[in-house]
Amino acid sequence: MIHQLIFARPKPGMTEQEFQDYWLHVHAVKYASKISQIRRYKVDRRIALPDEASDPLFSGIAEIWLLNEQEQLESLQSSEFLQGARADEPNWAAFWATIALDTETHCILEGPQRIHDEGGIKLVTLFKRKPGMSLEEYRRYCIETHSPLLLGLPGVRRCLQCLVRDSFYTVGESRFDSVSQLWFDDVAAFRETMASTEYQREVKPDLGNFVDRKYIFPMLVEEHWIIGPDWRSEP
Amino acid sequence: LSQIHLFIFVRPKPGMSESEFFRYWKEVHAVRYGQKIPQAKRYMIDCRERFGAEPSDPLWSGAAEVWLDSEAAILDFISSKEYIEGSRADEPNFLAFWRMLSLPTTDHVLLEDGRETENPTWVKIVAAVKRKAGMSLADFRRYSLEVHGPLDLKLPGLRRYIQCHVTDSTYVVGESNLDCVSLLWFDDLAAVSRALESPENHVSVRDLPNFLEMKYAHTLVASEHWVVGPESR
Repeated sequence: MIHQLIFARPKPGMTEQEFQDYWLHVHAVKYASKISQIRRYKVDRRIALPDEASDPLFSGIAEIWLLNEQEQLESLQSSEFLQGARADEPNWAAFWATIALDTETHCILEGPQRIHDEGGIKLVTLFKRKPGMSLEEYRRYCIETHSPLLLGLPGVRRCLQCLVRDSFYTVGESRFDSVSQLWFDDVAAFRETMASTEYQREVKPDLGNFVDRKYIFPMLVEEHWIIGPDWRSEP
Repeated sequence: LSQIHLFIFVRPKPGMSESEFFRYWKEVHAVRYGQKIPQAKRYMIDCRERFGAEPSDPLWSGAAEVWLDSEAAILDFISSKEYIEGSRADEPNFLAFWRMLSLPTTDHVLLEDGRETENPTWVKIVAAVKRKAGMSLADFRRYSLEVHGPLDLKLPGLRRYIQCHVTDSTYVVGESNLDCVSLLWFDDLAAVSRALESPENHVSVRDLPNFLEMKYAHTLVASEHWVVGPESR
């Protein structure tokens, strides 16, 4: 299964609010969900925190699940995509600033069913490995050494590590190597976790062992299922 | 403000032959859409020439080269009505747009010839590369210009040589896919062969692993076709 993550921002002149509303109520419903190869589709809407920059890199994430590369290729050539979703992109998104990553998801902490079904608040962070570290070593460190530390954090309800697939390393380096997803009950719980001794003493210093600090991009989001959490039946 | 030299590497959509792809690109896409984008001060199409062992599935069939006045002009270009409603809308008609790779660069001229003509008959090597893992970008750029460049300058028959370094802004949101596109011009394909077989080239090739990640070194030999140019408009 390909778990594709598409990080997007509004076209110049559109507010974040307008962008997110258009995405959820127009683009997702009218165009994206018509693409039959998409098995599940979720939109993550950025939550603006008062202490954050007013011009965020991304205002939302599309999460798309596709069965395999064959179906992905079919979807890219389908009229639903070409005349629908792709043609609609310039109406709301700065499509040239979009970052799309095909990932392989590793579940670190399954979490309660409620969170799967209803969505929740989560921290999504883009990572690139430390210069000189091999991709294999990075992936192993991320799953086997760093992720167990995340399990020790208070307040984390669910945790995924999405590792960028090999196909993103055929022409050159991938822009990013992995995306982590951590779920919380609410914004207050997220803040408590970030301030905890476990985060400050264990997790944060460990990042220096495997990631490139200049390419860490975190973002807090709330989830909206468009198709899912149940898989869409065969087209 | 320095001029931007934008490369867009492309290949045909599934099922389209390379010759049909080139024809559509030159006669339809470039004429109807590409040349209408006002920010494109010059626009050239590079078409892959059959040269050496023919790959069963070439990564790219060619590249568009577009010259823009400044970095800011890239945003104006890509958000223009002419690009969005013209060029971008037409892309799926002939190219595998999901495999396109765009690299904004700035030129470093190592050898100038001054022979840019409206109907170029020469050919060039287009080498798109990534630096060796662990090497800093600054070290890579310096090595490429100051150590490797002089080795290539000794190649027999070399007419013109430019290294196009990917712009700093391509490294703000994650790592750039590739770091540099080098262009090396020769009179014809026979001259390219002679250069590649020369002892000078053996020295140059031996130097590559010192600064390149060899699995991300891609080379093609291309002929040139001006859509807008060589005069800047």
